Amino acid sequence: MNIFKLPDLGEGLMEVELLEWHVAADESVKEDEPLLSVETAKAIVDIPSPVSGKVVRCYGAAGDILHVGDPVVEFETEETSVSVAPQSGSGGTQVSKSQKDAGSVVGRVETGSQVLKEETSAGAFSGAKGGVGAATGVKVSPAVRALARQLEVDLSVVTPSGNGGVIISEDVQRVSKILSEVGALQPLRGVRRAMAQAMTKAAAEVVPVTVSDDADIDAWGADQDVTVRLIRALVMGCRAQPSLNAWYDNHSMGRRLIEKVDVGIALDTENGLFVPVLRDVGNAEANDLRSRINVMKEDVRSRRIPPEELRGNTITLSNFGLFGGRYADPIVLPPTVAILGAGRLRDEVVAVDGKPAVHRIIPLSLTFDHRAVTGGEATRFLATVMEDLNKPS
Amino acid sequence: MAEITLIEAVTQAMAWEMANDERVLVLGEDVGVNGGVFRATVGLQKRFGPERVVDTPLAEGLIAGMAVGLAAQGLRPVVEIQFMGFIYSVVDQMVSHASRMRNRTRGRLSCPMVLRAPFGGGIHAPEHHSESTEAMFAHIPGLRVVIPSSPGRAYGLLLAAMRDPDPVVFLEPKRIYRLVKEEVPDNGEALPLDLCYTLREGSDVTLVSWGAMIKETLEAADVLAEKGISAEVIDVATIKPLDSATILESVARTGRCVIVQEAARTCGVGAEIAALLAGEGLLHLMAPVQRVAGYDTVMPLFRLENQYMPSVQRIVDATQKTLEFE
Repeated sequence: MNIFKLPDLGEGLMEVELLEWHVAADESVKEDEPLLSVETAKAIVDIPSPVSGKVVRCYGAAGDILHVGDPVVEFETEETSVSVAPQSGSGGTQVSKSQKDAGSVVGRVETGSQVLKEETSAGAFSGAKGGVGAATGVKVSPAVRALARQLEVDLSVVTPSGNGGVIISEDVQRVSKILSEVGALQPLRGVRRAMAQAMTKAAAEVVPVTVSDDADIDAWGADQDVTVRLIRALVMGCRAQPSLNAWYDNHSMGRRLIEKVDVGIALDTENGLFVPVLRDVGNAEANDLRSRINVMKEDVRSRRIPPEELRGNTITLSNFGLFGGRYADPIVLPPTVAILGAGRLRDEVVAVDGKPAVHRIIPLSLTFDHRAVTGGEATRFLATVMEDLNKPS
Repeated sequence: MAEITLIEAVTQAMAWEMANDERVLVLGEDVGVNGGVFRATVGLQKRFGPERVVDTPLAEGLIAGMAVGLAAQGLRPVVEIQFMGFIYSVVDQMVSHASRMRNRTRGRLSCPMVLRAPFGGGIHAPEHHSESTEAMFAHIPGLRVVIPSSPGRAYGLLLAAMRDPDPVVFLEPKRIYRLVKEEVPDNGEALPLDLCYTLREGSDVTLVSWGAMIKETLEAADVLAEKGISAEVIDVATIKPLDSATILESVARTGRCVIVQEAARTCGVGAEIAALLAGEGLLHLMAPVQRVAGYDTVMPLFRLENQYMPSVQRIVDATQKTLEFE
């Protein structure tokens, strides 16, 4: 038996969604020919066959989530294709006669050299390693189990009403009715799934603090590009307060200050949230930045963006105000320690030289990870950003 | 500490108990001078003398009858029967006397004897040397039936059997007599009777077996693990009385069960376990219980022996069947 298991696809991603098989059981495949296509958190990848041979079995169907190490394809090898030959001749009493002491007067007691090391427990399972089984905690008769299967009701969400906590058919019917009203559960897939995981991790790890303020951009000329100006301001902030352009390592409790500013741009798409990275924006011209942003947006929309352009940002910009909203609590994604959010531009009455005036305003929300950044550093960063945004060009 | 085989563990247990309890004596065909057909009693007569390690006539009914009398009068006889095929004349003594001595005498007498016999196939012996008729004894009220599957359990369970106040049938899987070794401290510590032993913990399916078939069952669990299936493996060890709690607890978690027995299928111990699960585990079962067993035929001669014996592949197939049940 030769089972090919899902390899680590090198993005630190532990699971993929199976999109399509390129082989089927009983088919032959050559080495490096694609076995199947999977969708990782951000990209679609073909997994090539590690060997040439005949496929015995494909594990899983389109739509299944596979984890690294899960069996994917079973190949036929010489071992399995050769049928077990009857042990003629060599067995039987001849051997026992030829040996001085066969351990028996008839037949042949096989002698092995393997040494047994057992971890056994007398009686019931100790609960330490076996994990939660499929049947845990649900008591239900086979007929009702069949009904649940037919109605596509997950028994683990059904509250039992029978004696002794048994799920009865009425329970399944009741849940089925409710589920039919709310619609089917949609498992999160691909980018949306990656978002859920990243956000859960962020919420578990980061100690976020958000500060908000308004930048006055009334001095801007008509030719100013909001996103490009925000990036420039971000770079100024990072230069003034390097501790915000950093990676924090939770395990070793350390930070890496990074000189280059690689800014992740939060992009909303139908498929979910993408954060492609613009490299070294501190040394880029405004025109160059704009064209790179446009290319990047198009690549994300068409799902052509390579995985390496979705990794390794040192700080993040979320220009959510394109759609609406003034202030927010943007989420810092580890290992970065800061994210700047820009809300919707507006005209507002502000005090200028003691007199009211209507100015163009951009609202800013800066979230920082208080494990790695102090409040002083963050607010000075924000002040620098606002100061740069105040400039006419 | 030496690593010893299952058969050496049997010898070690008897030697320990004979040294520590002078009521213990061993009787059987060729157990003395010769050291036993499989060498289970090697050295015992030399050490403990011909009065305690007795070479008997070739008459199994007589051996068992003697043991019943000796046990009823306060001694602790350990009887060896050479092969399962010779045990049928012993059955009369076990059923008619040993098993019901305590009940018949209203508790005045008991019958603390151990009936040892090698059982099972796989050593290319004649057909009447290779059968697995443990269910026959398990069916009789008043008998304990114990089957070890490793050197350590052979030692601990045989000690417990010799110390039990009632008759114990101790069946030794001869195919694995010398197959593996294990460190077994010779410290006189018995293992509990009437309990199953969980050899491997798992969450997708419970594999239940005993005796030599534990080897194939553990190998099947390895194959299943390769396929991403987590199998719990339970060694029943004492097949009568059955530790139903351990099996039910496991199946309540996994929802699936495959029973592996070398014995012929019909009315085997596997049927009893399947009935237990149907009766008390029904609400947790997610698929019908599968039995992998020998066939309802006379054990074939050795050319076809491997066809009869449940294979790793048959266990894996049965497990896949329970997992794919819709």
